[in-house]
Amino acid sequence: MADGHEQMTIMGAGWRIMPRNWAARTGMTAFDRRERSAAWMLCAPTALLMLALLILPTLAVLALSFTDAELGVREFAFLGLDAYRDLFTDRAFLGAFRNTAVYVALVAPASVILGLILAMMIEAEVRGRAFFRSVYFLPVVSLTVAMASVWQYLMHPSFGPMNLVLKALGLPSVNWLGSSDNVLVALALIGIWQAVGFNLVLFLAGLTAINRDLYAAAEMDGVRSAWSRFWTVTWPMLGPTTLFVVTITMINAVKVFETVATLTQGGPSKASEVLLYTIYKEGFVYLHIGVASAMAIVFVGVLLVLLLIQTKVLEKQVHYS
Amino acid sequence: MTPALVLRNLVKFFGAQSILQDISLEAAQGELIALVGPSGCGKSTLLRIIAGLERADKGSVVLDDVDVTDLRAADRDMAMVFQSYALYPHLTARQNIALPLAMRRLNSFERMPLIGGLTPATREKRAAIMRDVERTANALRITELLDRKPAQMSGGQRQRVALGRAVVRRPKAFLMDEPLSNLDAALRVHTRAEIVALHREAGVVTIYVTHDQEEALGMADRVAVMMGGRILQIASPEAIYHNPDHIDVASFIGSPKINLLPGHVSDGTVIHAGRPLKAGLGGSDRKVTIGIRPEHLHLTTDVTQHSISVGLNRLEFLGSEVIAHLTDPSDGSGLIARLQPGEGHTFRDHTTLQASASTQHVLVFESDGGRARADDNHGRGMAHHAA
Repeated sequence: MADGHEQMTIMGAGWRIMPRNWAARTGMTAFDRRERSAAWMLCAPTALLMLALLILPTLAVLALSFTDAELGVREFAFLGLDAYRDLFTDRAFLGAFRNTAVYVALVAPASVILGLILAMMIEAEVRGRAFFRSVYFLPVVSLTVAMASVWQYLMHPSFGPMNLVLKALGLPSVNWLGSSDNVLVALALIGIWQAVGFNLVLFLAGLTAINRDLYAAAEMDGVRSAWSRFWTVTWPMLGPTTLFVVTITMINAVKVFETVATLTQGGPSKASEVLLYTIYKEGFVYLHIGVASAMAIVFVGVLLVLLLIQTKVLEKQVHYS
Repeated sequence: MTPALVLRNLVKFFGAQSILQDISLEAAQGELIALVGPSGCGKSTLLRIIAGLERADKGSVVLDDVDVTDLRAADRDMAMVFQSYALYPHLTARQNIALPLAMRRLNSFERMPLIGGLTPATREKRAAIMRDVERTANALRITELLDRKPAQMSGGQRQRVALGRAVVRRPKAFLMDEPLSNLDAALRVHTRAEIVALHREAGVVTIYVTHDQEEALGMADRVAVMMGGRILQIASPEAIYHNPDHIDVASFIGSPKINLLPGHVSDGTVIHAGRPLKAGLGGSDRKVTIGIRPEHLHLTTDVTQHSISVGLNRLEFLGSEVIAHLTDPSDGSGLIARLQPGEGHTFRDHTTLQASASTQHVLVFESDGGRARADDNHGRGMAHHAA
């Protein structure tokens, strides 16, 4: 009786171990193989589309970027890294790079901070929340090209309302889009106007997600002023939202194109040449495919670096784990 | 001794909806009072009004002889523990526990991360805060957690840190809002004892909100049963259980639930299904509801004068006790009796049993839910005494 019981246990243990040993020996069971091929088949449509629409075109652009290819010209020379050396000695390109950086530096902080302040104001007041949310979101859904003409009117040096307001306040009028000193600021104002609504909606979502108990706990802990409350609860709890908002805003600002193309065409005297507009001109006006491709690669590289900084470096600091 | 916490006629509306209707309560120094009731009874709102996180529409809150009704929560010197723990996720346990001290002992300049610690006086204050944090952590045995962030702790550990944050500054009152609801059952029982010990040691009044009657009965000096925005009864756990004032208290407290049988009073005697169950009730002849706790329902196989016959559906063996599921043939409703484990098998082969309860365990409730006590003078006539 006792022996029989022991026998059973050993067999039981053997049963559990055997398939595992067997699987390790042969590498893969029939079931595993079937599972694997099914997985590939399920992935295939997406994988093929990604290959055809994203990876191959990118590789093609990368390949073209090392050449001096022009549209309509049969022969082209392989320049290799010289193509990039040329790019970084090209004053026009460096100017566009610098202008884009200035534009991002103006738009991103202002629209993030403004979006946060407006979101907190709307969050604090129940009345009219939906109304204000919609109003501030309007620029996001309206067509930039169409709205550009409105801005052209608003910023008109002689009869634009913005200058009329300045004049009424006794301030000198500003040549918003027509002076190389002001044009980036003027474009940045439009960029902020476009981005604030989007950031506001994201921040509102982030604010509503904050556990109300935290504010109650802070109050019980003696956090009295709105200022301390913001730094004790709101700001830390908005960390992930802020990271996302900053990322998205910077990427969108780097991609500025429509306002430049419609309002200034990069002028006056290239003061508002930005990366995307320069790429567009090289590729579609001068038909310098090779140069445009190299610029596009640099452009993508900038975006990737931004993304990498934000995901790898900052992500750790906002999720608190 | 003056009561530590007094609530006077608190009334609260949310819009047109009445949340609290005339709540009054006095808690003695060092007393632990449990507010228990079904969800939506207003117990959490009451706690938030005591805390100062919510304003009452009428009434007042008095803490240690000071009317704090118009003080904001930060100025009331109470501490609160939340069901969600409400720890600051970006701060370590040490920083979480230190925060209430830093908020009270340091000014905004001294709290600043780097420059705040420059003067010797501030450094001394900061060191004192850290010593207090260490002492509290020691008492709660969470020293090894101090440098972790909430995300790196289990639920039980988080709740201990939250308790630490509440006790560290020695407030005048502890307010606890279902602090154990997010813990698993084993941890809950364990933490219960710890909260009681913490409360004893601090010696300050504690208001403990829970929907778990077992927690309320097991921890509190007095239990306040709330329903529909009112305190139906406030009394010791024993009195709440054995001597409920209201049918809703009787049926909310106790598991399995109290058996409720229809009955009527005839000439001072309570009768169910033709059997007299209790005598000595005053007042006119009327319909009443009879309550008998499952452990007070005695089952026998022999017919006695006061017993009613019931059908036996099922015996449920639960180890330390046996639950008998019965049917009252007079109206087909279910009854439950709680038996000693040994009693169970003697009834196994029976389908009909005799149930009885001793008179003092028969609770009688009027049709408005209020308790009708024997020997009470109900206006007219003498009370009748049980034979």
